[in-house]
Amino acid sequence: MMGSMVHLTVAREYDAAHTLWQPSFSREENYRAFGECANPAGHGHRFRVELTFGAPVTAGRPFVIRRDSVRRIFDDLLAPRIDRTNLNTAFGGEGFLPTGENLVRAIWKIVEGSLDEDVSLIRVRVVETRKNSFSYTGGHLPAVMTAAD
Amino acid sequence: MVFLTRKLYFSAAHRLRVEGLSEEENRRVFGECARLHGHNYVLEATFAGEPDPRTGMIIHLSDLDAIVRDRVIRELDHRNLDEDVAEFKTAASTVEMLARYVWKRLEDAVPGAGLHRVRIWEDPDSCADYYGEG
Repeated sequence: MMGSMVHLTVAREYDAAHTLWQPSFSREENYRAFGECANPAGHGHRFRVELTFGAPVTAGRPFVIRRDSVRRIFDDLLAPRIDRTNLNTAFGGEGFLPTGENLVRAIWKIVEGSLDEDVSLIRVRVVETRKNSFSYTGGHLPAVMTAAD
Repeated sequence: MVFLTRKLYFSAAHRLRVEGLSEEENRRVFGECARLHGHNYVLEATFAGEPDPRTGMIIHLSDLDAIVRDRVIRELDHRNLDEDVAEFKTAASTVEMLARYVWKRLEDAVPGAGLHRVRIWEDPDSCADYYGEG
């Protein structure tokens, strides 16, 4: 049977703290850029991380991605960085600015690098609040993201 | 072109395994899903078409429901997918394979409208999408 491309989306929720504060900005510039998110003491969210994978599915390989791989990604790769952590430091790099836009790209980099060759990462979506969500479907990763290595 | 999505619901039992793998290997690939268990599935069928200029509709929703119930829900609801559905006697009833199966059943379901996407939620945190071979 010909394999046909199917997408599988799996989500997990994590509780984490962050603050949006760009050290190169003045105090006033930080408050102007990030508003209430610039509280230097931090604030938190329940972040919903949705990962969409794609692969051809056949009777002999009846899944897009093995469920033990999904568990490894959420439990071993993402949880240590996002579950009850401070996102400003949990990604390891100095000066990582944990906006939703940067989070989806940092998560993309971590997840994509861990996948077997027969699975593609299609989309990373992070839901920050009822009003905010961020999606990334691949493409240019700016140099600042090396902070998340 | 307008997209119309309708949700329908079914509940079923299944267990995941690949024929030819040992019991231990199946447990490793599918985890706890290798044991018999069940889900409240949500099927989202999305059709793409031009609304009829007189009615403003692609298809009347109750007509759509009747078609999807007849072609899909009747066969899957309150069943054991692996025992009761011929397709899954040999193939694993993963949510991915279910999406492809439902696609085949609905592909030509609505005259004048194309099936755009089949999305099946296995639980609130997992869904499979299939867009056909296109």
